[in-house]
Amino acid sequence: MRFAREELTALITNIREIDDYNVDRVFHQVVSQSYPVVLRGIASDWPLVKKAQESDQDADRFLREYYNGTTVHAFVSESDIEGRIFYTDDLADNNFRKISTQMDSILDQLRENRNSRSAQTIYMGSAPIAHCLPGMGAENSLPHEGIEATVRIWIGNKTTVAAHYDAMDNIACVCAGRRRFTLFPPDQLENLYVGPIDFTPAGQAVSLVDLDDPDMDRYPRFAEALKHAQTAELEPGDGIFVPSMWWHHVKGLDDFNILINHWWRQCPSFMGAPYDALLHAILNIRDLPKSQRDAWQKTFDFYVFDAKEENVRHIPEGRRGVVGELDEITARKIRATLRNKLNR
Amino acid sequence: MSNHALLDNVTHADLRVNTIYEKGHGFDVNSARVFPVEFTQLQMDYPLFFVKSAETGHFETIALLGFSEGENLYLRDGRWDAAYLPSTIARQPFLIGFQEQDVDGIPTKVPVVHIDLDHPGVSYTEGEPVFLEHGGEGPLLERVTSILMAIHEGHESSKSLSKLLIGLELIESVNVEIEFRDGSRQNLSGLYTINEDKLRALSADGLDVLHKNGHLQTVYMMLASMPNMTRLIDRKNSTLET
Repeated sequence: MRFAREELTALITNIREIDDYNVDRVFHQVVSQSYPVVLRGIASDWPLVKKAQESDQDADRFLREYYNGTTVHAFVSESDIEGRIFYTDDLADNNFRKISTQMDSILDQLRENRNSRSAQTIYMGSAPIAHCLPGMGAENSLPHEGIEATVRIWIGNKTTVAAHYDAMDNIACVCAGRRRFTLFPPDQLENLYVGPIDFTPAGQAVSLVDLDDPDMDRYPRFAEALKHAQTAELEPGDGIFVPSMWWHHVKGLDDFNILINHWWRQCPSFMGAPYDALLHAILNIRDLPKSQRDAWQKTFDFYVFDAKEENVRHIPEGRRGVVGELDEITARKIRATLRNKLNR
Repeated sequence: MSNHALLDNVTHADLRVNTIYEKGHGFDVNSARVFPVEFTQLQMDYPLFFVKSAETGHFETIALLGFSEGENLYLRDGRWDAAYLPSTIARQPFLIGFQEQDVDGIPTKVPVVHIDLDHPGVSYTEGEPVFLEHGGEGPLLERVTSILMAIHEGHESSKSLSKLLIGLELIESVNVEIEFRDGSRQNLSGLYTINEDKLRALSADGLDVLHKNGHLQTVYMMLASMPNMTRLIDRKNSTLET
């Protein structure tokens, strides 16, 4: 069974839009609710957006003015992958090459491809602005005082990144070209047919279903995921809040796309990556006998997922160790213990 | 011959290192690259010199281990006959390599451990295991990793030493002519050392620059190592018939 693109679009609801955002408080505003929102026009007065609205050439020139010549990573594919940054059919490899290059040669290549209508895919993802375009972030990012955000730039032509989640909260702003975001809530994991988690196209595990042409015979539960999907097409100047752990499929619709995003975490910096805990649990828990695993599930609930002060209230406050409050000192101790125990 | 591979705990799970300080076990070299950070220990046992790198034009520091090609006079009765091993000897058969990785979106050259699989010390039956039973890093590998990091840093300090001494014109070439007790003669060329006269005449400013860069000590340690040349000749003579 196959869906036509129009049928699919009709199935998927639109992401909620808010227009009463306060640009100076938007980071606090969006996290007070944990669902995605579209922020139309939030970046419309950024100089880069204005240049891009004039022409691709103006945006291109603007970037070159700030570029400091540092090496960046990019994905390219000569083959006809139709912009889909993905795996080869057998999942043995990526369907693109990872290269280290200069940002101006990426811009050159994109310009050449625009003129020659080449099918070559070019995608430079998540390059920190502070690293490659110093100074540009001041007027071309959302005010994030008091928020430890990393601001990244994404440049490419018509590309599709399959649905994946990021552990960080994300506000992404389209600067040039149109971009379509399609989001699925975290609980749709089982319906998205996710590929390997440790060998991925761009760092995060992706849904193996091609959203543009889903094979429903092969991936029948994807029909359920579609019922929960939300979508939005963004124009230059528009922003979107993609909450942490929400699956997002991102499609650059034009020959020249620029996006700037802000990633941040709502937790102290001494906390590590939750993904590491998942790996650790796969190593040490998943293959235990069921009765033991069930007991550990309860134990995890007690200390982690449903942790509350009353669970440990019977232990004197200074004696609670790692099940007490987590602070910088306790985090250090846990890190040292884990590091030692891992080495066996 | 060398066959370098990126070390990993799956491909090389059963790898062991069996270090034997004898002729024919991978240590038949007459010099070892050394770095300023280890000069204090090295000057007790080895004569230290500069050689000029054909590749970079920099002066690099070496410990002289023997006179003819492949002659290592510190290999004695299956042990290394000195209190301190130069780090480029102690690291073997491991090497440092670099891998470009993405670190928070920034292309970064990350140092990684390689192994020379053709080194005679590489074994699957004898010696100290590289990895622990379940893939953790064994004590040998932990030790070697820190040695490799020191070597990595040593390359940087070596470059700064070379630039500094060239600038101060403190390096001079030496021609060493030796007569061993069996009457054979050897001429060592391509070695450089500290010009003592120029060092004595060095201005306060020059001394200050050396000191501030941490290399005043390096220079004196090199000079202090010179009597080891006589001891190295003694080592050679003790192997010869009169």
